[in-house]
This record gives sequence, structure tokens and C-alpha cells, in this order.
Amino acid sequence: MEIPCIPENETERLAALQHLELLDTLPENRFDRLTRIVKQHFQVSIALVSLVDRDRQWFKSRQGLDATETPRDISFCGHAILSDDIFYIRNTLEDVRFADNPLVTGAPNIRFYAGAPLHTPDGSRIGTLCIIDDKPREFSAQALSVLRDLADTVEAELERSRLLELSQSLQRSEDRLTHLVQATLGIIVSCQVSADCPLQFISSSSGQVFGYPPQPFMTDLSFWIDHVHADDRQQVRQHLQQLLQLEDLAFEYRFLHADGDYHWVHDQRHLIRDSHGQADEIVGLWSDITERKQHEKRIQEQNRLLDTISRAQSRFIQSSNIRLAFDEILSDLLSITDSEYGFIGEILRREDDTPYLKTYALTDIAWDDDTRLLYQQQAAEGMEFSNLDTLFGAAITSGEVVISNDPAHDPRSGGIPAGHPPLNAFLGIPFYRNSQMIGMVGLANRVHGYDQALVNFLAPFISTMGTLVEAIRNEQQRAKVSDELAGFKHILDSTLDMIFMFDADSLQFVYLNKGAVESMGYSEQELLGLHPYDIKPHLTEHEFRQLIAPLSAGRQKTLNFETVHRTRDGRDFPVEIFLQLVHENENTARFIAIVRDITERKQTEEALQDVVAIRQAILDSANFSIISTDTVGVIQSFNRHAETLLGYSAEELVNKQSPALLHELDEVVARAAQLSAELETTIEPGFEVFVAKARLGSADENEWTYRCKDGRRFPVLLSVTALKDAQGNITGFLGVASDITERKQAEIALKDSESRIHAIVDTVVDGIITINSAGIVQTMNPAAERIFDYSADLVVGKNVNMLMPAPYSTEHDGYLSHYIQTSQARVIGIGREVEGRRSDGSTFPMDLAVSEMHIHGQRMFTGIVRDITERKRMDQMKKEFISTVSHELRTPLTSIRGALGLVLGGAVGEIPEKAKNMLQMANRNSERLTLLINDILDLEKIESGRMDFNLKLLDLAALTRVALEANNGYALEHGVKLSFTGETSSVMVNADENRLLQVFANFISNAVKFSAKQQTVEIELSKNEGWVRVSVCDHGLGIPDEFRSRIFQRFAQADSSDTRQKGGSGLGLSISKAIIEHLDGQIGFESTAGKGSTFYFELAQVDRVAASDSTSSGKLRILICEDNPDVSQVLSAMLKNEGMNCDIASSAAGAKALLKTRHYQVMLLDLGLPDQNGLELITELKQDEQTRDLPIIVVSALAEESRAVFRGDVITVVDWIQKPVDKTRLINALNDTFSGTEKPQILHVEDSLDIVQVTAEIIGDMAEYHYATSLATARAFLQDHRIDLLILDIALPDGSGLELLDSIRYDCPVMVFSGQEVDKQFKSDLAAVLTKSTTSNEQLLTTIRKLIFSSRDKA
Amino acid sequence: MKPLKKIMYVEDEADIRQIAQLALEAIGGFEVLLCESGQQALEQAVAFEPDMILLDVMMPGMDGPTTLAKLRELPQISQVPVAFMTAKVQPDEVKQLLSLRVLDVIAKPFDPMQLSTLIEKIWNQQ
Repeated sequence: MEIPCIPENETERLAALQHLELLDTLPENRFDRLTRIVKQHFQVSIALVSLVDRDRQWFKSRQGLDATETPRDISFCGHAILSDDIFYIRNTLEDVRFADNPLVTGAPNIRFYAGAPLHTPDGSRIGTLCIIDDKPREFSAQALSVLRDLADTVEAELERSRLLELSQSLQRSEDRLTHLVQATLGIIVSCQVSADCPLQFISSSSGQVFGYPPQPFMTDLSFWIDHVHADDRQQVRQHLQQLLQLEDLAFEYRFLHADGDYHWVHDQRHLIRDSHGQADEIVGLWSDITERKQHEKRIQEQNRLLDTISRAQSRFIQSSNIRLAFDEILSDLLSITDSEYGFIGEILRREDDTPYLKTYALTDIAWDDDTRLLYQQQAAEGMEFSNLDTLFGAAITSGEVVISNDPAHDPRSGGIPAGHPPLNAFLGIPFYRNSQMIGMVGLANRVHGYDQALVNFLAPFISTMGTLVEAIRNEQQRAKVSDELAGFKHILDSTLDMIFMFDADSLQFVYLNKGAVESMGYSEQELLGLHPYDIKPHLTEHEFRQLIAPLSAGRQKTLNFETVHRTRDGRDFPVEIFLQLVHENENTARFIAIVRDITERKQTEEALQDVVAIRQAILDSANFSIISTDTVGVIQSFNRHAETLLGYSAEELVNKQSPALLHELDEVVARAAQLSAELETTIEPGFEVFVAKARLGSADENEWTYRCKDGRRFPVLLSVTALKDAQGNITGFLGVASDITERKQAEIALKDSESRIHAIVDTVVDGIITINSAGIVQTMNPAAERIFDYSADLVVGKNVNMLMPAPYSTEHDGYLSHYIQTSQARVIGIGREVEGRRSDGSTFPMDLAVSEMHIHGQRMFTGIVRDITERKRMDQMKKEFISTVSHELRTPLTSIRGALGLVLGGAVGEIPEKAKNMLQMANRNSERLTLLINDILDLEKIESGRMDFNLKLLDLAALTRVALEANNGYALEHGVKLSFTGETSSVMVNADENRLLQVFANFISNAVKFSAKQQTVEIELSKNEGWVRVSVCDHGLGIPDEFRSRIFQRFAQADSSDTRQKGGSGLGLSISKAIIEHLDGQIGFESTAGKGSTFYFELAQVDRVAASDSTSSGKLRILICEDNPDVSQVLSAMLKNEGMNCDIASSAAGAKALLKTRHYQVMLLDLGLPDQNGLELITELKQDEQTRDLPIIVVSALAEESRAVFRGDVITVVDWIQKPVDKTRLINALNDTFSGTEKPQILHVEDSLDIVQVTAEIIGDMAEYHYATSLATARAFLQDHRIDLLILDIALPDGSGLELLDSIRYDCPVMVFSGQEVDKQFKSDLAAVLTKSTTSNEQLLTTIRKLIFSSRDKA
Repeated sequence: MKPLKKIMYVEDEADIRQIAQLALEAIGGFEVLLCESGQQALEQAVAFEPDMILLDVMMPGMDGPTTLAKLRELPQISQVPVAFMTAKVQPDEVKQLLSLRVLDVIAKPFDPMQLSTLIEKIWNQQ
């Protein structure tokens, strides 16, 4: 048994299969219906839609089979998906691959199998539609095709599954949105896109939220903005203006609630665009966030206080100068209480126990020289105040808080000295330690006065002051203790915070204060054996060492961070740690960590999360994972998308983990190094890596790899911004990450393909050069370097014209700008032969193909060049060789044939009858040899593309008659009759007359040769759907079956005996085939043995219903473009009556084709054409240089409406005539067109009347055409006539046409149309040089048209 | 137009000279002067006073076109009509030869029985 191979694209294939989301789904009628049809149609026992999964085939739909899946190893479908063709086995028992397959040897006893692979739109073969039978069967081609058709239907259903899924997902997201809106405790609004965004809808919740019903908002357009707080209005207006650019915007302002208070409003707006990208509507969600605001404010103040306290403590510990530390503490205190001045002091007692105040810190409020002096002398040591008959004295004496908001009238105030700054409000708070009042804080001039709330708020701070002051006292008491650290220990022991000291090297704890021991639940002894990282569940030893590295290295004095401590019994609590390195002596250094339990603070912060629930809901619905952290990296929020994306629940991470958990350490380390270099400061690999830039105020956007809970990794684009409070302080960080897996894959794919392309570009033999729209070279591949003998760096950045010889080098910029302005290409999209210039200035022929591309919105051109010097040389050699061979063969033949001819002709006397037979045979064969040489040369020319085709419009019926005439003699010789049947009216084709005659001759002579005497050869012309067929039919023996496939091969003759009997080279059909194919036609034959053969060729019919009489000239020629034949016939008849010629095109394409081959004075245009809108056609013709001057008269039932719609050039559209046509108006419009146009005069000097006739036909009525067959007549004509264009042949009976150049004394373009080369010396006098053999009629017409128009323009 | 009587034929191949002579003299009844090279033609043309000259193209020493050009330099011969008789009959070769203001180009191999008629026809078409 053969196990099916795994396809090369298996990974993609499985992905495509997964993407369908069909595996293991319930049966669906839309597939079952199809399998039922299949089973019924093919009359088989089983029909399946089988999906080939990694290890199994699973049946989405099955008829006649119970199993839902089978292993892939034994599956037939596993084989069927290996190819695009239908895989079928007529009899499995006869196939070694399957004879022992368990599905064959056992149930379902498969004998016959046919499976059509099912494709996804990307081409992956993901399964089959298959039929199975338990008896061997034959399977016809027709059956195969039916099965394929049905499989296509299943494919369509598969694709529909995806669409269904998409639409369901859309529906789900709509439902979600609706739900969100309903659940929102806000006001939904919709407004117009204009200044101030006037409301057009406001939800009824406005009453609930703002206290106003929707009405006033809707009736009074300024109601809303008028209720916005005056201070916020300006900003709100600015936001609304920004919205038009930003799409999404959220802002906050105060709004006057019906209850008379200002409420804070969070206003989230979104700009909706219509399908054209036009701003259409703005929707918004207004939520009352007053509570949140208040809460935030409280939290902020709280935080500031805690910060102040922390700072106070650390300053106190760090500072060597206690007073300076207190100065800073005072300044913080004034700031958080909005006070103007104040003091912090110790309360001491004199020997008589009277208390007095000695300041640690005092705001300098000195008001005169004396007080200034006093302040300067004493402030440093502490000023003493003993007068207690003051407000602060009242605090000291009473031991109570003193609040006085009107000191001037306060009985407790003893007045203030003259010159003392005004005192408007005062707050004095004494502080205690162990029930003993040890100091006080005095604050003055808070703007709105002091209150108990502030006192309560300050409580933690005041108590810290107590700690500190007591610490100072203790320190003083222990002044004699030499070990400063010992003193610290004592102080710290008695603080509220936990103090940990650990060794700088081993990191082992060496000291713990009481608080520390108690908080951790360990005994002191136990703790002394541990390390800081042992009690920090989120930090490893390595991470911890990295964290403290800046301190160890002396780069930083203190370190402040938040983490989590885990107690002995496993309870985690958040802590804030202030860390400092203290050098005890030269050898010993220790870290002191002051640790505070911040559980409460965290809880408050968590509470805040509830308030922003609505915002969260909005964030959740966004397609981003959003993670916020506090300042040290502890995750504060983790949105729902992040949960789904990363597999963690918010609960698992919030307040517990750092985002570092989600990152790859390697990436973090690498980024740290990168950032350190960028910011010129050391960034340790840790949380700081993510936020360092955000901290500096710039948004940081980077690609990272996220690691999911299950270990899966995927790339994200993470943007981190700092969250700030109203004062601009950073309160945390927000990371928004989007999954960029797909983008990455696309990038990788792009990169792959780019590098592949680069590899190709670098190795191709053709030179590839790209330039920009200014002609500046952008890239140059190695092959181009070789070809031009330049290194790329000498060329890139320079104008590409350095690679061209004159005159191209000077003209190239002009070509390029012309192209860019007009889109009319000389070389773009067209390959052509040009000259290149190497670095040494030498020139060489090259093939150049230029294509245009757009890269990042910039227009670029790619030129592919190939040095064809060698090819040209080879071509020349070949040409010479053929010419020589031909000549050398013909020369002896001339003698042979001549001698035989003379002998047989009786020129040398009578010859015996027997000898005559022999001589005739020799003569016949020498003729054959001559023909053979001609044919071989023809074939060689066709193959090398050197055969000239002179394409023009031909009447094939007329040409058939000519061919009949030409071959009639030959037929008569053989006693065969020729007859012409079928279509005999004119049928136009675009072809080369002589080449077609060659084909006719071949067909007819073959038919004659194989006909018996007295038989008839029928030549028939027939039309079919735009094609014309010429059939030549004989009634001979027909073509033997075995020969049919070779019939168009060279030297193919059915029977070698035929050769002698029938003559001919055996190349005729081969040449005919090449000719017809060159004319874009088809050639073929039908033959019945014993009854005869029909050879035919088909050419495209040129769309010209009423071909004009081509011999009539001097008449106006008009093109009627009209699809209704009745109308076109009427118009045509009408115009012919007026002496005009008409050609009719029934489609826009037909009209364009005719305009290319002929010149028309005017076009009548119907607007409702089958293939193109008439107005579009007008626009297109106007843009084409060749037809932009063509006057157009619209004749249409829609003329009037279209005229209004179409703002075209009035000169181009002469008139808009409504159907039915008013003849007078039409004739007038035509006369308008013709009046004032005097035809240009052309003189064509040409001795071949054939060429004269062709040229006259091409020029038609575009100009007055005159011709002269000799220099003499031309000179005579030029004396009497002024002409607009002179066309010259060079070889004339009485000299060279170029001699006429001197005969023209005025500015008239001269064009050479000749078979000869023109000497360079003349070229400057010539406007154009065309070579007869290589110029198509179309080129000739274009050139003539261009020259006469330019000539007229000058005139 | 005067009738065609005297033809000078320049051809290097002796066999072909012989056949052409037979064809033109015996069948056409013309007076024929055979020359085996361009040089010989130049030497004998003036004395012979031909009505028409037939020129081979590929000849050793001096080819047909060169011979033509030199003949035209002879005042007595310059206006004598010329036709080429050649096996160089590729279309562009014929075009090139025709551009030298000759009456026609007669392709080899030719039918000796028809040659005289053909030449008569060319002569009359002038």
C-alpha cells in the first residue's frame, strides 16, 4: 500500500484549512445537498466532501458512509489533493497502490474512486469532492468534467463559509457595541460636522446625567457650549476643531449641572466617515466623571503627601545637614498646603519649664534690616521664640491645633510686629511623641483659609515629623556614641517603617528593625539568614542585583521602587522601598532599605479602577492589549483583549506582576543597551527599558515579542506613554500593544521576495536601471555596470542621459517630461532598439524596454537593456550567409535549367521521344529545386521575423476572386475546375495582400493536385462571429489518419511517392501556417478519407459595415459610430446623398480601430454604445494626440441631458443632436465643421505607382495629395504650388529625390519614404525618415498627420 | 522607341553565358555580345554600341553595380538601359539593385525559352 505524500505547501495548506473553520462542525444542508446530487448523478454508493487534515480526512458531508473520518495514511483523498487533476482509480484491486488498502480489503470495500480536489481561493487543495463505489467502473471525460463542475460548486460553498463567518463576526461586534451603548451610564450624542458641532441627537439619559432633558440641547444650539465652564470653553472648541483631523478624541471639561454645580464631563468623540472618506457625522459619549475627578484629586493629594513624607524621611536619612533637610521638608509642606510661609520647630523647655519654640526651618519673611540680620545669624542654628502670646503660642500652651482664619480679630493673637508681612490665616499643629509635645508646624496664609480637613489630611505627615524630631533628639542624646550607624539603628528602630540592612556583597540581611521583623512574620534570626530577593516573589537574585547595580556602581545615590513582599506564611503585600548604600568603612558597605507597606495606597488606587469602568469597557472593545502600570512597573490594569491575547487573567497580574513577565529577557537586555546608547545614560535591563523614553516625555513605540501564558510567542507593536496627573507628575505608564503577527509575516514575505528580486536583479544578464521621474538614476545592477562599463556609484544619482549618445542624451529629459505631462510614451511599455554609450564614449546598439512603476507614491521607470552588438553581428552574418547560399545554389541551377529548357524547347534540334521524357523529368525537378530554395528562404524569414508584412484593409472577397483568377491556369492544366461560393459581398480584413495570395496559391494548388480530372475545387467564404473563413475544398482521396498530425510540419508529405507524382517542396502548408498565424488568424483542415479535404484559414473581420468606395476620392469621409444598424444605415444614406463617404462602426472599439487606419473629417457618435459609454469615448479620443482634433457630433436620444452633464471642450463636440435626427441641423453641423478648413497640400515624389496608390488611400481626405514620378515633374509642380509636406523617394528614374531639397525655398517639412538609407549629411534637413519595408501603414499615417499639423501650426 | 537589337551580356559563368547566348540569339534573334567580366565590358561597350546591357551582379574582380557605375561614366554608354540578371534575389537585394536606376532585375534561374520575351517586355515598358 502506498501512503499518500505530503504536499510541499502542507503548512500553508493546513493553515488554509483551519482558516475555513469547518473541521468538526455539524453537517450543513448546503454541502449535503451537493453530495446527494453527486451520489445520485453518478449512481455510486458513496459521495463525500472530504477535508484532508494533518493526520486524518474528515468528512464535512457524506452520503452512504457512516464513518466521520479515516486516517490520512490510508485515505484516497490524500492522493487526490496532490494534483489539480481529478484523481481516479477504475479498479483498486488492479492498482498496487491500493489493492491491499484496508478500505479496499475491508469495508467499505472501495473498488472505484474518483476525487476532485477542492481549492481555497489561494489555491491550496484542502480536500476533495469524491465518489466511491464498491464495483470497478469506467469514468468518461464527460464524467470527469461534471465532477469538476460539482467540485467547483463545493468550492464556492467553502468560500461562502468564510463570508458567513465574516458576516457573523460583524454581527457579533455590532451586538457588542449595542450592548455597550445600552450599558453605558452616559449620554450618547451625535452631531454635525461643522464649527461647534451642533447636536442632531442626544440620548434621553441627559436628564439622568445632567439634569436637563434632551430638548433644550436640541432647540438651542448654543445650550451645550453655554453650559460648559467659561474657563474650559476655549479649550473645548479647540478640541472640536482638532477632531476633524484626529478622528478620535477624548477630553474633559466642567459642565453646569441643573443642580447648579459644575460637574466634570468626560467627552469622547469619534468622527465617522462615509464610504468616500468624507466626514459625515460625529458621535460622542459624555460621562459624568465628577466623582472620579474628586477621587483622583484626593488620591493625588494623598500621593503628594506620601511623597512628601517619603522624601522627608529619605532626606533626613541622607542629609548630613539636618536643617537643610528640614528646609526642604518645609518647602514641600508649604507647597502641598498652598501656604505662603511657615515653620517647623521643636518645642523645648527652659529650666523653669516654660516652653519655647526653636525652629528647624523657617520661611524667610524678614521685613527690615534688623529682622534680616537676625534671620541670617540665627536661622542656621535655629531661631528661638519665647513669646507665647501669639497664635503659635496658643498652640503650644494649649497643646491643641490652632486654626485662625481671621487673625486680626482672634483673641489668641497677640498682634504682629510692625512691618511683619500680613497674616490672613494661620494653622498651628503641635506634634507629639510618646504623649509628649515635642514640636509644631506653623503655616500661614492659605488662600481659602485652613480647616480641620487639612489637619486630618496632614496627620500622617505630622506624625512623621514627630518621629523625625524624636530621632534628632535621640541622636543628640547619643552624640557621644562614635558609631554613627549605631545611632541610626536606634533611630530607625523606632520609626514606623520597616528598615532592612543588608551586606553590599553577599546581600545577606545584617540588621532588621522591629517593624521589619514584625511585618514579615519571620523571627529575627530567620530573617538574618535571608536576602532581600528571598522575600520579594517578583525578583530573582539576578534581577535584584541588576536593580541595585546603579547604587553599587555609585551612579545613583538612592533608589526608590515598588515591589511586593511575601510573608513567612505566603501573604503578599505591596511595598515601597527607598534604598541607599552606606559605606561603613573602607571595606564594608551596606544597603539600608526603608520599606513601607503600601497596601492601603494600593487599595485606594484599585478603587479608582471602578470609577473608570466605563473607560475600561471602551478600552476592552478596542483591538489592542492595554496594560497600565504604576511608576515602578506593577501592573495596574490589564484589559480584556490583553487577557485573550496573552492568556493571563487581569486578576493574576494586576498589582502583582510587572510587564517584564510578558517579555523575552534577551530583547529587554538588547533594548537596554540600545537605549543606553541613545539616551547616553545607563538604562538597566528591567522595567525602565520600557518607560525610559516615555519618562522623558516622548512616546516610545517599539516592536517586541510577547510571551503568552502558555509559552506561545508573537510580535507586537508596543507604544508606551507616561500617565500624568494635573500637575504633570508621572503617575504610571500605559502600554498599548497590537498584535502584528500578520504584518510581520507580510514583512518577512516581502523581505524574502525583495531579496529574491535582488538576487535575480543582480544575476540577470540584462542590465537593469531604474530612474526617477527627473531622469536621475536610482539603481543600476551589475549587468548594467558591465554593459555600460561604468561602476554603479559613478552613475547612481546622475542623469541617465550620460548613458546615451547624442542626440538622445540631450533630448531625453524632454521625452521624460513630455511623457510625465501627457502620458504619451515613446519607449515606455514598448521595446525598442536604441544606442547606448559606454564610459569610454563608444556607442553600441541595445534593446531597451522601459516600464513604469509607482513606489511609495513616486513614479519610477525601470529600463532593461541588452547589448545586442553581437546579435546584430550574428544577424548580419546570417543574412549574408543565406544570401550567399541562395546565390550559390541558384547559379548552377541557372545552367541546368537553362540547358534543359533549351534542349526541351527544341533550340538545339530534335530529340528522341525517350530522351525527351528523361529530360522533362530533369527539368521538372530543377523547377522544384528552385521552388524549394524560395520556400526555405521564406520560412527562414518568417521564423527570424524578417519577413515584411504590409498590413492594410483588404476586401477578402475581392482578393479571393483575384486568387481564383491567378490559379485558374494551373487548375486548367490539371483539368480541375475552381468555383467560388458562399459570401461574395465585401468582407474587410487587415492583412498583407501578397502573403495572403501565397496562402491561396498553396491551398488551391494542393487541392488541384489531389483532385481527379473533371473534379471541382470549391473556394468558400463564410462569416462567423467576427471572423471570416476561407475554405478550399477538394473531393480527392482525403488525408490518411496517420498523417494528419504532421500535416503542417515541414517537408511533410503523406507518401514519399507523392513527392515525385505531385511535386511541391513540402513546405507550403508550413509557410501558410506561419503567415496566417502572423496575421493573428487560424489555419486548419477537415478531411474524410475517400471523400476529400477542406483546408481553411480564418482572419478577424474588421468592423466596417458599409465600406466606402475606396476608389472615390475628394469626398468627405465620415465615421458613424452607432450600434443600431437601422439608424446607422439611415445616417449613412442621408450623408451619401450629400456626397459624403461613410464608414460605420457599431462599437467604440470598432471606431477606435477605424480611426487608426483612416483619417476622418468628422465622427457622428451615439452615446449608448455596447462596449463603452460615449462620453468616455469622447474623453478618451480627446486625450489621444491622433484624434484630439477630430470633430465629433453627438447623435443620441440622450444628447440634451448629456450635454448638461458633460463639461467637455465645446470645440471638440461640434453639436449635440437629439434623435430622431433633424437632417438640416445635422448638415449644418457638418458644414460648420468643414468650413474654414483648407486642406493641407502634399507632394509625394515616387516612381512606383503602387506606393502612390497606397499612400493616397492612407491619406484619404486628410490632405490634398499630389504625386510626381520623376524629379523633373516634381520640380515643375513645386514652381507653381505651395505645399505643406513633401514626401520623397530617393531612387528616382532621373536622380536622387534628395536633390529636391534645394528646390524648396520656404519652411516645409520634408519626409523621406524610401527603401534606401539616407546619408547623414541630409538628416538635419529632414523632418522624418521612414523605410518602406519596415513602415506600417499606421506609422506612415501617424507621421504624415503629425508633420502636416505641425506645419500648419507654424503657419 | 527604336526596336531592341543589340544586347551586351556581362556574365562570368561560361555555362550561363552559353545558355543565354542561345536563348537570346537563337530564340530572340538579337545580336549578342558576351563579356566575361566587367573589365571586358568596359573595353568593348563603346565599340559594340549596345541597345541594352544585361549585367550579372556577383562577378569576381568587378561586380555588377561597379561595372554599371563605370559604364555610366562612358558618355556613349551612360544612357543605355541596363537590367541585372542575378541569383541575388532576396527582396532587399532586389530593392537595392532597383534603386540603381536599372530597368529591372531578372531572377536566375530563368526560363531560357521565355528570356527573350521577358527582355522585350522590359524594353517596351521603358
